Amino acid sequence: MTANKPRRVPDYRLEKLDDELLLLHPAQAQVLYCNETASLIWQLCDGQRTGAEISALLAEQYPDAADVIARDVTSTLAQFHAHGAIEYVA
Amino acid sequence: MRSTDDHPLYRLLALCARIECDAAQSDAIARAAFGVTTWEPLPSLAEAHGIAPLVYHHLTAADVPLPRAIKRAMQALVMRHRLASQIRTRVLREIVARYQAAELRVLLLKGAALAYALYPEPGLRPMRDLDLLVRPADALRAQQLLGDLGFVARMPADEKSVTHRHLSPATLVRDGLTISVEIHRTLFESGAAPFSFELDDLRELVSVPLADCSAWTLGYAETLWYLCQHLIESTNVFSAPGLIWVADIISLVERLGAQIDWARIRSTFPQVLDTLALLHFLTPLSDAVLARAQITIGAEPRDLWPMFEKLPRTTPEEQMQQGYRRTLRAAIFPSAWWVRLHLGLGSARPLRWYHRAQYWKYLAVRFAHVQQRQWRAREK
Repeated sequence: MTANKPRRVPDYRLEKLDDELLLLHPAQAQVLYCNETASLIWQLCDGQRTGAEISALLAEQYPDAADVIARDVTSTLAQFHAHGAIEYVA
Repeated sequence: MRSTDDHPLYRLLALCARIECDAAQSDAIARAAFGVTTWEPLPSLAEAHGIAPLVYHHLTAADVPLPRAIKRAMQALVMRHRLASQIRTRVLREIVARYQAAELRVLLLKGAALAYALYPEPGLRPMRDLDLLVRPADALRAQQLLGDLGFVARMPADEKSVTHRHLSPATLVRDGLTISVEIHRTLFESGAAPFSFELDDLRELVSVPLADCSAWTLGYAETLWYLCQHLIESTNVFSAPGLIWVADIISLVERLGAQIDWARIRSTFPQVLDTLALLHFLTPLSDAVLARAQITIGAEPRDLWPMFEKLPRTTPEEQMQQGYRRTLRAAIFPSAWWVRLHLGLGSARPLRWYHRAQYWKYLAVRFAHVQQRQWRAREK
């Protein structure tokens, strides 16, 4: 999965609600609640970077959490994908 | 028979079916919320009735503490409707501008008008379709113009082949949202209501502010009558009254009651008063409206709340899955509230045996009508 490049599906929006971030689609009842890391990952899903590259970018910013970042990125991308919020491009 | 106390969630939803609440109504919402023992169905019920944003607005204003998961689900619905409304508004403006450029007269109906002319924020008024009224002679051109705007718009062969009050819905997917537009030729089918206005029959129109352009809708009296008639037509043994329609009607008389010609309502559209007298049991009318409209309120009809167990827009097949006996009983012995609504009895006039007989006659006619349609379909 990380070899492909995740890209945000158009029409999804990240909206702030109190202290949380919601990923929502105007036609879908279900929303995804995101923490700060998930929202960063979402914004980095531009179809240009692979999952591994996103992990590397985040690890550069947060070196103390480098060992968990790769796992977080993989699971967050899987959630986004299962929700239909991202698609993978070659 | 169950008492009202068995249906605290429906009672709470019904109380929220309005735009504004005064202190007493807000207290009533807080009291009703106190009686709710299980909150899980709230988001789906509120959504099914089209009032999720209003419910969340009123529960927040009344300081009703919601379980965290329910609060989050309601907030998500509010945000989604706000987003959908922004997209829908842009498309509606494009349609109105296109029709105006083509010199095609159009009126916005129901939610498409009320979201902008009545509700303080369009996102508070969810809707499934945009309903537009044009002259019967312009209907095909209106549908063609929707096609030009990118809608998938099925064109009838010719004007004579159009027999229904509206054309097939035209649909467009914009920013992920499917927008459906119905072009109406008349307000109701001929014979389905005491009147069936066409656009040229309507003299008093009201301006609808639609961002930088202006559109029009029916006058207040006609709007009120149309909403009530639509509610009556759409509420049957398979469908409880959609609470968003109740919110539209109640909010129109509460917010714009001073501008409504009540004398005309009494003389031309008396069924409006009968309907209001029954909606009062769902969400109470203010003393000012009761005085203006000169409505007499009777005792609360029995079987009002169990009726809400039947969600709006469930199909007869789904109802039958719940057991044919229950459906049959509801069809033969509907709630007194429903019979009063259909027969225009208001809440104060007595409900006699011959009213029930009148209803059964109506049922027989409907049944024959459905059978006839099925036979015709089989023959084709």
